[in-house]
Amino acid sequence: MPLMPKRVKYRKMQRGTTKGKAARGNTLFYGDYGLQLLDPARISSAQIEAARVAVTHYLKNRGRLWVRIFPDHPVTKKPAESRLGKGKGDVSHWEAIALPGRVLLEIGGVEESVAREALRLASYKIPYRSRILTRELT
Amino acid sequence: MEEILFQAEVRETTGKGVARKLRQAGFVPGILYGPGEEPVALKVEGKSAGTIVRRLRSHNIMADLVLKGSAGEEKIKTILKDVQKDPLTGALLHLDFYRVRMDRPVAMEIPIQLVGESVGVSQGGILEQELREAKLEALPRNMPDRITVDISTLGIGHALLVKDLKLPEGVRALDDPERVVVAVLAPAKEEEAAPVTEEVTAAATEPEVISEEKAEERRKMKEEAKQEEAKE
Repeated sequence: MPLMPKRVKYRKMQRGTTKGKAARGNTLFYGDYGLQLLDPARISSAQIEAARVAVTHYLKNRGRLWVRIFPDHPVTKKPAESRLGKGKGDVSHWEAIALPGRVLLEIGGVEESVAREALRLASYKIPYRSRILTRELT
Repeated sequence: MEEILFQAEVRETTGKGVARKLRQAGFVPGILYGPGEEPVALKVEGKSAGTIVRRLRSHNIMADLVLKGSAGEEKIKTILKDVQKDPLTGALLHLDFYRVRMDRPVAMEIPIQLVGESVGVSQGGILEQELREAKLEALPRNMPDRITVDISTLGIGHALLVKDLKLPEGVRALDDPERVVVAVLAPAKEEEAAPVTEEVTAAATEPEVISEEKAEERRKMKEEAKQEEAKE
C-alpha cells in the first residue's frame, strides 16, 4: 500500500511552490546519521518507499530507521489521449514537498560505515541532490 | 567549565535589511535579554563567534559577553540561549543571549554523554538514546557542562530514566523523572508480510475526504428540512 494520508480535507490540491529553505526538520533529531536534501524537491511515495526498502535491506534488522517526510500532497493526472477540459484529472499519486535542508531519513544504532552505506544506497532512490549528516558526538 | 567569550557591540538599528548588511560586514545580529532588563539589540563579531559555535557540543551554554556600548565596555554573564544557523551552509544567522544573575537558579539544557560499552549491545541489542539533553535547574556556578551516564551495566530491555541520573549537588532535573534517557532494545525480528486482502487494498487506495462528508451531511439536512416544510 503506498504511503498516503488516511483522511484529507479536500481530494485534490494545487501544486504550490518549493521556494526557500527548510525552516523546520533540518537537523538530526532521532538518530545519529541522516540524509539531508540539498535541492527543492517533490518526492513521491514510491521514491520514499524505495529509499526505505534500500535502507532496511542493507541494515538487515540492525539499527533503526526513521523516515522524516510524508507524502501528503495529491498529484492529479488526466487520462492518456483525452481532450482538454472536463475538469481536473484524477489523483494519480502522492508527493512530499521538501525544501533544501530537510532531513529525509535518519539511522541510529549502527556503526558509521554501515549507516553511511545505507544512506548512500537510499540517496540513489531520491532523484535530488542530498548529503549525509552525522551527529557531533558529545 | 571553560570560559567562553563573545565580543559584541550595541546596535541601534533593527530589521532584516540591517541584519543582512551586518552579516555581509562580518557580524552576526543578536539580542541580549533577561529578567528585569530591557532587551538590547547586538552585533556580535562574526569570525570568533563562528569558531566558538562550531566547537560547541551543546546549544545551551554559559558564556561571557563583552559588550561595547556608549558607556564603555562591560562584561556580562549570559547563557547562549539560541543559535540560528543556515541549514545548508551552517552560517550563523542570529544569536540569543540570556542575562543571568549569579544568585538565582537558571534552567538550562545540558548534554548527556554516554560512557562505556553496554552489555546489551554486545549481545546484539540496539542502543537508543531517547534524551540527548537534560533540562536542569541550578545556580549558574553549580551548573555542569555535561552529564556522564555509565551504560556498561545496561542489558537488553533495560532503560535508564531521568531519576537514575547522577546529578551534582544543588542541581535539579526538570524533566519528567520517569522519562527514558537511554534504552537497549531487543534486535528487530524479521517481519512477515501479512496476506493482504483485495478489499483492504481497494479501500486503502483513497483517503477519506472530510469536505465530502460534510457536504453530504449538509445535503441530507437540507432535504430533511424541505420534507418537514412540505408536511407542514
